[in-house]
Amino acid sequence: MSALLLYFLTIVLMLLVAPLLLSFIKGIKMWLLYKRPVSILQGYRNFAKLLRKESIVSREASAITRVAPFLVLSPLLVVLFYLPPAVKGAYYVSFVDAFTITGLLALSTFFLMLLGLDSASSFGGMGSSREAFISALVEPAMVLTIFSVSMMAGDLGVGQAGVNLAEHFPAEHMASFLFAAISFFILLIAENGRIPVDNPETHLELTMVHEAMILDITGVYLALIESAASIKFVIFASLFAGLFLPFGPELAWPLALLVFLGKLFAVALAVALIEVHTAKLRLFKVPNLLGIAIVFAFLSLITFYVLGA
Amino acid sequence: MGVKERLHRTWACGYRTGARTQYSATGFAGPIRRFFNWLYRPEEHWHEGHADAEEKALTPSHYAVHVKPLFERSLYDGTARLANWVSYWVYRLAHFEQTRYAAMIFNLMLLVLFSYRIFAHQFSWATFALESVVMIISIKVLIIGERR
Repeated sequence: MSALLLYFLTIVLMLLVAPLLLSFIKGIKMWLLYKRPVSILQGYRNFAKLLRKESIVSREASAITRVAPFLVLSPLLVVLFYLPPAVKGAYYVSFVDAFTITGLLALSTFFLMLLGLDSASSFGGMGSSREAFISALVEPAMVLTIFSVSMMAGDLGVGQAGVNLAEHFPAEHMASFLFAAISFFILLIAENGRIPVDNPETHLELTMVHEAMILDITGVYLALIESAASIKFVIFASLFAGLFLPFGPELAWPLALLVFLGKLFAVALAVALIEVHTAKLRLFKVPNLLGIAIVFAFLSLITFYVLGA
Repeated sequence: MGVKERLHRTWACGYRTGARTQYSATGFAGPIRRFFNWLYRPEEHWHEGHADAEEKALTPSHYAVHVKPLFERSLYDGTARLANWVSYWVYRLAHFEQTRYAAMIFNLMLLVLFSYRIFAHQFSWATFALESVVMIISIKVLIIGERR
């Protein structure tokens, strides 16, 4: 199959699977809590329902509220094109490095914060303030971690690093690889607003970070923001799968895509297990967790350079 | 996109939305500032409101926080303090009275006499120590005097 076709097929697959992953996490959590799991297609049903719903916008909101949902979604859609390939032989963008990906994700978060502040409610401001706090600590760690893995893979571009890691697994750098993996997993949890950092199912404003920013929008705009959240999870899961679980792309393309989906669901399963077994951290204890991520990222770089391990 | 919108006021817990029900910049930066307290050491001014005599109303509280940039605090303020200290002593020395003037001439003569030994190649550490002590005592007693 042609390289470009595989490239676009992977992207379409990720877009289609995004709501499924979040519903899968929710289903696993409910099943582990002895409840009857929600349907796995609930994400798609929510999206369709929100598209049909009427949009109620605050009288105090400005044009930002009408524009920001699109600006939250578009950087994430751009990042989808920069991820490491799932199938060997597919086209991939080789020159995009950690700064670009982190910057695009931060751009999406920035417009989400503006959206939260726009509706003149104090809950939105609180969510934006907390999101700024968490992002300020997450972004340096993410740049460090992805750079560390790029060093191990021998190329600064994330796509090329994924291909290099699939060809030659760096068993001689296992220590720094594991440190980077731990750091990236913590960042995956933090950036996607999962339980140790933020509760995605809370109904209490006191415990909200991401939910508080989107309290005052509904309808099409909320559909866009929720799909942005699911695409963000797919991006992080795909980066984790491509960089830290680099087996599978050399198979035939249907099998390789299946393995890729399996890896995404494995990441979702790990996130669900962690969500069930931990409680949400107090806001000012979150820097402790993110500090662990930064420290592991530093350790990864230092063990790679100083110890050569 | 042809989105059908309906407008409605934001609920502000029963109050009218305004500048006081929204997040200000101080509040927005609150968590980050609190986390970096150990580094920036901001100056906080908190005037807490209290209830009046009949407990009917509450005077407003004021909270202001100001972060002085670290370079300004260490580099600029330190240099300014050093310059102030040097200028104080220069002023003290330059604006002296008659006795201080005489004492300064006395000390200069001591310096010339004591340093003669170096040029006459009769230097010894013992005499150098003794003469330094005499010079220091005379400078302290006659020129510097008490610190004003």
